[in-house]
Amino acid sequence: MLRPGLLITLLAFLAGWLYPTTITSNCRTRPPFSGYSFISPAILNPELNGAPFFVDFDALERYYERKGNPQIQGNIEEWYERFCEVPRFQDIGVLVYQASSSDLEQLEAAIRSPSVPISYFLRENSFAQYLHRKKCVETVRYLTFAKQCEPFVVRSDAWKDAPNTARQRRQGLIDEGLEAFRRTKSHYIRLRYAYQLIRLAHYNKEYRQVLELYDFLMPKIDNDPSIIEYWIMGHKAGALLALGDRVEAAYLFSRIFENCPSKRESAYRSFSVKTDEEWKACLLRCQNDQERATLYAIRANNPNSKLAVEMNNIYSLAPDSPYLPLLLIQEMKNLEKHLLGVSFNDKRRRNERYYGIPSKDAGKRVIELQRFVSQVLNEGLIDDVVLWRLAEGYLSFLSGNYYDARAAFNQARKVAAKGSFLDEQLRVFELALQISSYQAISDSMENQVAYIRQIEDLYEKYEDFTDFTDDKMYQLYSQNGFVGKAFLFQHKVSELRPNPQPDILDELISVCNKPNRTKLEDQLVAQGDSTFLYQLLDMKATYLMNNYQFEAALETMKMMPRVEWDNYGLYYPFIERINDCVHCKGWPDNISPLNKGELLERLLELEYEAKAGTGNTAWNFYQIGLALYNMSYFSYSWKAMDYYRSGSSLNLANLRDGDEVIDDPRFPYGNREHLDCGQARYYFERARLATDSLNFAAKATFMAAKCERNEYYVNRWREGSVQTFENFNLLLQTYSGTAHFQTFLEECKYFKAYALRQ
Amino acid sequence: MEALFFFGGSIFSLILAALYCKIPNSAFRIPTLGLRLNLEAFPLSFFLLLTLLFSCQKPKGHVFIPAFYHWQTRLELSLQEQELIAQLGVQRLYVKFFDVDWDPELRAPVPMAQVELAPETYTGLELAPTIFITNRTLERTGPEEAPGLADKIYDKIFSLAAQDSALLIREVQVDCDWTGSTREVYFELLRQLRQKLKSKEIILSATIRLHQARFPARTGVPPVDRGILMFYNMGQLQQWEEPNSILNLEAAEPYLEGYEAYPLPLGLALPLFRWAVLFRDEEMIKLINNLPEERLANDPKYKALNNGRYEVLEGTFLEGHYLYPGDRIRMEGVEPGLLFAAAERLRVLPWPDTTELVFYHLDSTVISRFSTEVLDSLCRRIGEE
Repeated sequence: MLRPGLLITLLAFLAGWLYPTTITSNCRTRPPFSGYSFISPAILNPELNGAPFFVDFDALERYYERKGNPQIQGNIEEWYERFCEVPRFQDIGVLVYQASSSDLEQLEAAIRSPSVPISYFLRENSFAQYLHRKKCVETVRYLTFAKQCEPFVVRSDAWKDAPNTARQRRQGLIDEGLEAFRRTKSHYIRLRYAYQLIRLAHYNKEYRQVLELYDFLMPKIDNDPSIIEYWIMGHKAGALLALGDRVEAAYLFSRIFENCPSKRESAYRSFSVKTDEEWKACLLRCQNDQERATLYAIRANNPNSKLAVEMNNIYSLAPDSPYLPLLLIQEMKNLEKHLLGVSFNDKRRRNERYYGIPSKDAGKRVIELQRFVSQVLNEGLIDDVVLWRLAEGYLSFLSGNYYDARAAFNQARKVAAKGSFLDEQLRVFELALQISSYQAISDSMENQVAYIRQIEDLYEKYEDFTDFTDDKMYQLYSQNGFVGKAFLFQHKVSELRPNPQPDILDELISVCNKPNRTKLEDQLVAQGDSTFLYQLLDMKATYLMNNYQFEAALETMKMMPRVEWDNYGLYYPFIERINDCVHCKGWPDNISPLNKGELLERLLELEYEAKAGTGNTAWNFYQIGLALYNMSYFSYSWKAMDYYRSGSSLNLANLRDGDEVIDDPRFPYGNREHLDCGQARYYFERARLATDSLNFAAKATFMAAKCERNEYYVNRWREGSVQTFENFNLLLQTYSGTAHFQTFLEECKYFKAYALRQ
Repeated sequence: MEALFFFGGSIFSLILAALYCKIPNSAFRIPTLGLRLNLEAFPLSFFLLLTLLFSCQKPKGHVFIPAFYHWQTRLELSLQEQELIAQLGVQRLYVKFFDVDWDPELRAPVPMAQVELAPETYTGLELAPTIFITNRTLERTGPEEAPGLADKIYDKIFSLAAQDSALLIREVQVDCDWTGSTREVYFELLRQLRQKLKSKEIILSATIRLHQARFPARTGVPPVDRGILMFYNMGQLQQWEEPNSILNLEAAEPYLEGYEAYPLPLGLALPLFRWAVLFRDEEMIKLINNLPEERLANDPKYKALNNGRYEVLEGTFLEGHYLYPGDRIRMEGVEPGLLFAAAERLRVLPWPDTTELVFYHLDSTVISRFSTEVLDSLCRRIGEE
């Protein structure tokens, strides 16, 4: 009959075995790119034509998240300007996009009759109040008309079929709108009607009608410049594209791209040139070189375009083109990603594997861009010299030419206005250059780095400085043999615990004890704080215990005050257990456990007495063996000689290299387990040989048998490995008449099975 | 023996012809394949088809019935395409009805590139609506959203099918290169869709990639009625040195070695397409579909290297893409010889007795590059024991 607990365990095991957990983790997810960037988006004025568009799409997204939908934003701005910035910006948005047709109809009625109130929804709206006060009936009528058009000119749910009536309704609205257009006196409102009508025709895919409406309506409008003209132009270009006039369409899209921020992205996506002939015709269609430069700027924005080539094209046409600084920054950001700190980036291999970064051509590209920047600076045709000087210096830095970089930054400093953003950017570049330039370790260098980490405001402001400095220092210290300090630039000291490294510990203990530490050393070892030092000493003692160097371990423990010893764990590895149990409490309540120092003293005392023959030698040897066994991976006091134990460490795959260290991505040196029972077995055998008592010898032999079994488990991966049972045989042949033998037979199923087989 | 079988097939055709004369305006169905032949629509080609069909069969080996994928947004077969289909005895087209992709603006899956049907150009053919689902859609869709998406796909299929009042759907196919991370939601979607289609007696099939067919225990088996093994796109597309990523038998061999019967009845898809692979600064950046090699070979802006490779000498636009000097292009496609080699290797695999060989995909260029005889011979060769 199975006990309930055992039954549940068995069922749980069966359930797990029969229905293994589905592996749903995203195995293909690649780790994030890990690099540094010191070019701030603020280096460009985001209001510059296309600034957020060009620099990168993440920046674009962030920009529009802040600003909202570009078309809505542009539309509200347009109304705001037209009404002399009197109504509140938000109120325009509410009236145009949230008010219902009935709200607007009531507003029109209120304008016509003082007895009719403005609807509750719009009563406090400053735009509605303005329209009411100024009796802007045409505007309100237009807004009502636009509200009617709205459902027919927005993206419908693609899963559902478009209603058959939509087409007729659009045509009906075009007819109504034409009538309203004729009645309207305001040329600005006429322009808006024209936009609605042309848009309706476009959504009906009546491309010829789009062009006809354009030709019919636009000459009848005499308005001030407005973004609505570009919105209309977008529909005209779309119709031309659909009808095959690709060159004119591309030209118009390029005009929208340049002049209308709210339609820039859609114009870029619609711009299409298929052949060299179309490209040439498009260039010819342009009115001037600035317009031609825009065509190259659009081409430059294609993914994988060669920016240096396109910048040359633009520069040859229009050296003052606003696209040049945008493309320059874009390419600098690209190159920064590939080249900055690449020699010391600790994630370089991962970047190469998952992102192909740095690419093979990055060096070639930086030289090409440097050449172009030099040309621009030499010819003196550009206005913003500071930016180009900064670029010159940063590109030299990226290409590894620190001397030229410094020279260019010095030039830039002469022309950069103090306190300007470019001045800050210059200081950031110089700081990165300074950190990157360290080649040798000295007290002054360490004090400088400490100052940067603690005081420099740019270090805080530009968050990549932390990783950049840490990686650089790690490389520098590693190359110069300072493994301890190097370690602390990449890891927390606690990450050393699963496999303490004596050289790292010695170096850090020595730094803690150094009387005249540098400021950086102070930062690294927490100003030599005793808690920091003691945990290093405890680790060192543990490492030495692992290697059975008990005297050295005790001396290390003695480097901290005895009163501190209790803070590093209590153990009592002298309790006998027939069956192993790694998670059991090791001692009964009536026993006082020992701290690590006391335990070491006890072990050394037992060893001394055994060697001197002053006590019960066999018992002393047995006690040492027992402690060693219980402090190993296999028993309850494993924490005395280790900090971390994994149940999977005995898997064959983990054992194969025979070094007792199991790779673990969490720990830089892996996890070392104390798997060795050889020393314990040695003491058990000595105990057996030293005793006259058959019963005691049986006990020592049984413990030696456990060590023998563990040795086989640990070495079973070796070719030709065979399990031996020397001690079990000895028990059977020599000690079968003892009381302990009977106990082992009853309590140890493993031994019983062996005995029955014999 | 073969002649005897051909003779038998012809006799059977004649019997059916006699039946056809007696029952005008009827439709004939081959139950095992779920094929429905509209006899009225294809009176002459129907008998030709039967002759071809039965002549394709052998007493031993497997029967591979030819079919095509159609991957354009308008299903309007040209006369030449209709002729090829008739001569080859194709009865079924797997027509991509729409893609399901993730719309970042709407933050929802949306149907894209919806098919327009011109029924008068494919009379008598059975259409199997095929839906391509992008992996990124599934990555952003939770398993609990799968039933809703299945409903939408189901409704969309039939709303698009309504363009052809005579259309009778017997099979729907879903194409998706699922991964470990999307398997759960994809399989749930298939389960839901299959359940819905079952009520209309429509079977659901799915495309199976080579690694999925080779390691079903690891990659999972989709909950569908049958699968189509897509025997293409198997090489290292991103590597300049790759000889032909579309069909690379050397790259396929590790997957064919030790191949065991897939847990679902499988059909086979072979490629007929071609493309140009564009490299810039040693990085693959673009695929240019269906580019004929003559387009580059006869243009002084390109320098021929070797093995269908070219270097761009002068900046130029190619099919709407601007190329810079130094860009390199690898032309990839399949020739009949390579298809026959693939057939030779594949014919020993454990196929069902009767299944389909689906060519990817039907367009105007296929006719100029592959004769009816070549495609028909492939069908026979792969079925030989």
